[in-house]
This record gives sequence, C-alpha cells and structure tokens, in this order.
Amino acid sequence: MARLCHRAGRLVPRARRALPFSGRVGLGPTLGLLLGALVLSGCTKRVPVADGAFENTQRVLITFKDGRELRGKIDREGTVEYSEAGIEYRGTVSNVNDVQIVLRDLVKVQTVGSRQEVVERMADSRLYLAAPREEVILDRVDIASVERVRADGPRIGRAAGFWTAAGVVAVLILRERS
Amino acid sequence: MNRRRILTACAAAAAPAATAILLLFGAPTAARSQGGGVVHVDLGNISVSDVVGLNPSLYYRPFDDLGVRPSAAAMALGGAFLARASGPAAIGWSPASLAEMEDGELFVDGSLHSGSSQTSGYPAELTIPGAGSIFTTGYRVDPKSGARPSAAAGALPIWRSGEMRLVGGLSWRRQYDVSYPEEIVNDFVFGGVTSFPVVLTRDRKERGGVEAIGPTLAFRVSPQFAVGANLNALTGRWRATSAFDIDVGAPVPPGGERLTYVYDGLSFDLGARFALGNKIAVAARFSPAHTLEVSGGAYHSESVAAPGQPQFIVDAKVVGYEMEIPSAFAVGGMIRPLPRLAVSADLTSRNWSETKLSYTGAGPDSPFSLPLDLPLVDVASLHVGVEYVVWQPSWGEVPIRVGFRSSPLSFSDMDSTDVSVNDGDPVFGGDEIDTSAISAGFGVTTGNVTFDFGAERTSYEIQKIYFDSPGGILASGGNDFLTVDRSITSMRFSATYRFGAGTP
Repeated sequence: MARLCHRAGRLVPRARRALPFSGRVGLGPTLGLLLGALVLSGCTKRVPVADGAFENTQRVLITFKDGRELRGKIDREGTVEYSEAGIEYRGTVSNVNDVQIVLRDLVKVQTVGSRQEVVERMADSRLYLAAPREEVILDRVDIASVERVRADGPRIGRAAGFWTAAGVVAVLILRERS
Repeated sequence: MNRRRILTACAAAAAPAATAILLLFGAPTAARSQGGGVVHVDLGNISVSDVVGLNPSLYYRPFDDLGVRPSAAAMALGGAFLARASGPAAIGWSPASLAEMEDGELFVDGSLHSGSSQTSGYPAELTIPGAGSIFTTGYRVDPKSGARPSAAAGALPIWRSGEMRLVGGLSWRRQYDVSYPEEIVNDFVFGGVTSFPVVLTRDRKERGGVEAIGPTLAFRVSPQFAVGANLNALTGRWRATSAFDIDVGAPVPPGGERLTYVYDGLSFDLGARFALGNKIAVAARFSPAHTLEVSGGAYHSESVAAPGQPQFIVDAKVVGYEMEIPSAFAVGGMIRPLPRLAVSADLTSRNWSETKLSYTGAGPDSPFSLPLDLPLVDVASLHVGVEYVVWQPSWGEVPIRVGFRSSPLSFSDMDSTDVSVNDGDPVFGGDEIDTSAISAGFGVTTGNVTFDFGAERTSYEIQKIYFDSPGGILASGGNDFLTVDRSITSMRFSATYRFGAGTP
C-alpha cells in the first residue's frame, strides 16, 4: 500500500509528492532552458596569450608542438579535456609545476576528424587489449601556444537576442493554436 | 426604480443576437423557455450570411494577404519587398529569392497592433420607456491591441554544382489575416435629479487566422536567374469571444458570445527572379487559384441576465462552406542607384470578387436564410520603399527605411443607405474601403544576426452599426449607422540567424 503523507490538509501519495513535476511541465521553464542552452552553446572566443602564462583560475586551450591539445582550467584536481591523435579524453590534473602538467584518469570521450572514419570502418575487426590510459605527462617546453577561452559577449548578446525573439514567436504560435 | 428600468432596457439592447433573430427568422419556433426567465433559441444550421443578423462585426472578415507577409524590413518598405527579399523571409514574398542563400538561416517574425477611432453619428440621447432619457457622454469603437506571430522559417542550400544551387526551406506563416478584434464602450449619464452614470461595453477578442505550413524549393539556374515554389498546407482556427457588460450601479451577470471557424486547404506560390548583380532586380510571384474550406462555425451567445428581463441563450451552427479563392499576381523591382541606396516598388492584384462560394454539405435549415455571400472586392495595391544605409561600423551596418502602400480592404463597407440588415439586401453592399499606409523602420546587422524593426500607420473610414446591434438598440426601431475614422498602428520585429563558415 502506498505510503501517504499530509500536505495542505490532504492525503497524497508520497511518491507523487516527491516528484518535482507531477503534472504538466510549464511552457515557460521549458522554453527558458532551451533558450539558455542554445544561447550558451558555442558562444566563446579564444584570445592568444602572448607570453604563454596562465593562471589556474583561467580556462585555457594549450596547443602543443605535435598538435596535442589541452583545454580547461589547469589546476590540481581540475577536470580537463585532452586530445591526442584524433582521440579526445576527459581527465583530471594530478600535478602542475613549472616543468610538467600531469594528467590522470583519462577516459576516452570521442574520436574526431579523419581518425573517426577509420575507427568506424575498423570497429568490427579491432581487438581492444590495452587498458585505459591512466597517466599522461605533458612537458611545458613542448607548448606551442596558449589561448584563453573566454565568453564572447557580443556573440552571446546576438544569440540571446535572436533566441529570445524566437521564443516569443514560438509562445505566440502555441498560444494561438492552443 | 429608474436604475432597474435602465438596466432592463440596456440588457435588451445588449442582446442583439436575440433581437435580430426575432426579426430575421420571425417567431423563433425553436425557442423554449426553461424557467427562470431563460429563453433558449437553437437556430440549427444557418448560412454564414445570416451571421450579419447576429452580429455584423462577426460577419465582417476582410481577407488580408498584404499586411501579413513576413519581415519587419518589408513592412518598413511599405511592402515593396518582392525583389528585395532574401533569406527565409523570402518564402512569404518570392520563393525564388531563397536561391541566393549561401548558408543555413533561421527567421522569426512577430507583430504588435494597436488602434484608435473617432466615431460620429451615434445618438446623443436614448429614451427608455417609463424611465426617461439617458444621454450619451462618449462612444468608442476601438480596435483591440495585441501581439501576433507572423512567421517562423528556416532554409539551407541542399545542392550545389558550379553556379547552380538548390535551396530548401520550411516555414510556418500567417497566410490571411481575418482577425478584427474590437472594443465598444458606450458611456451614458441618466439625466434626472439624481444623475448617475451608465456604461455599456462589448469587448470582442479574436485569435487565429489562416496559416500556411509547408516546404519551399528554390533553384538558381544562373547568377542572374532563379525560380522557386511554395507548397502551402493551409490550416488554422479563428475564434471570436465577446463579453457584454452593463455597469449601472448594480451587479449584473455579464453576457457573452463566441464563434469559431476552422480553415483547411492547399495552395501554391510560384516565383521567378532576375538580377544583375546587386544593382537591379525584378521578381514576380503567381499564386494559382485554390480552395479554402471553412468549417466549425459553432455560435453561442448569452444575453446579459438582467432582473425582469428574460435571458436569451442562442445557439447556431454556421454551415461549412468552400471558398474558391482566385489567383493572385505580384511583380516587383529594385534598383540601387548608389551603393548605400536602394529603391523598390511592387504591384499586387487579386480579384477577390471572383471568389466562388459553395456549401460543403447540406445548406441551412431555414428557408429564410440569406443567400450564401461574402461581399469581397478586388484588391490591387501599389507599394514603394526606400532604404539607405546610414551607418557601416566595423561590426555591421544599420539601414533606415521608409515606405508607402495603398492597401484597400478586400471586404466592402456597409451600405449606409440601407435601412435594415433584415430586409434581404446585403448590408455590406457599400463601397470598397480604400486605405493607404505609411511606414518606417530600421535594421541592425551584426555578425551572424540581423534584427529589423518596422512600424506602419494606416487610416480609413468605415461604417458601423450602433453597438453592433442589427435590430436597433433600445427600441430605436432601426439601424443606427455610425462613421468610424480608424487608425491602426502596427509594429513588427523580425530576426534572422545565419549559420555557416562565413559567420564571424
């Protein structure tokens, strides 16, 4: 038998009470979330750092001489994205010093570029024997460039303007047809 | 005592449907008293023409396919946009212009309408039997303001080979505007020793119209020439909801009225565009004749429930009908004498008077029904617009626009020489309502987004029946025609978002 609890003088099933949405999901919050996601996606810009110096609070994109890339806040225990030879990993910074950046717990997220096509073609015939990469040591002398990843204000503004207008028109259409 | 008599008289006045029915159909054989002073009248199936006897404003439905076309830039240019249209907004103008698109684009468009009126010819004094006279201190028939969606569209190139290109699009847009919401406010004062105000209001909200949903294909044959076509699945629902209120210092349950139509059909637009670089362009659009089916038609009204006065409840079903809407043609040109200056002009034409009407099923029940008729009149319009880019900063450009258009309505005015809506003559047998509109606006293009704003003001004179009461009000014995000088202000906002590698 379902457990019941009091709410506003009425007995309602506990399970129903626990649900954040027990009926219709409001149109406003749904559109708001959708707009927020659309506005914020892809609205960043990269600003080159001339002397290559960066702080652990800054989100950066580090490109190494051999094409490897490291993205995120380079701080101990911080989560970063690392790509090498067309494979993108997500991992944790275990140590940072003037000489090296050490990553651990790297988990493959996706393959990108031409390598992805090869991987897809060979997927059925490949035998995976190697364990996930546990540690990568990146020498700072191999850094080719450092770029700060920052929010692109004007672009966010433009996108916000458009998607707000789109949301208003969508609400008007739904209201007319309801 | 006087308040009670006035209330009773006003309640009768605010039951125009019932009054008109008595005149239109003779003794309401379907009427039955349900006790408590309620008289329920079920008219059964009636013709759309009979709606003029229920409420002339519910019958008055000009089909506007000029002011509804998308883009605030188009509105600012007075609708001279056929050869100027670009991006997904072009779907509503010339589908061929879609072929110039380089990358995928999204487009949204909405508008805001408000209006005001000056009314003349209303009675200054009404006599209420046994209660004396009440004097009019004000009478307004104002268009109601409101926001409306106009279009949402997207398009992208789907095939390229050399100079040739195929672009596909998908859109929702308003095809015909049929909404004319109004608010009537009649202020009186009872002129006895102890004078007090009396206010009658009739507030009619309207939503919906004829919408078009469908795909578009445009093919660029060469850099100079392109063709395109829209397939429009016509759909939509129009709903009118009125509320009658009497404020005479005593609580009175309000009356109400509602009518709904559902639209259904299929149409095409064909377009062609010829351009010499960005200096000169001409474009044409042809929309073949098509059928629009109008169904729904559920009518219901309840008069104000005043003490001592029977409340009339009226139900009817407007019989479904088909409109064979004639073809439309538009041609436009654009010339750019200076790099920053563009001048454009359009001509459009649709012979609405050739619209053929027929019932989709059995006709109305009553032999006294008026013949199936909508007094639609031909519409030919001229549009002229000028655009000048006033500012070209590093982040984009800002053009300003002005325009003019003649914009006759497709429904003829009331014939003020007619003495009654119930004498068998078409009460809307008057002249064409010829109007013109001036417009202005500006645009901002920055990065991958363009915002446009346009405003338009149109003015015209129209005949109305006093308090929309076709049987006369307060036993005045006939129709009281009013002249309404009306001004409509429309504002439109549109936004375009471009995807693709060329996006800064």
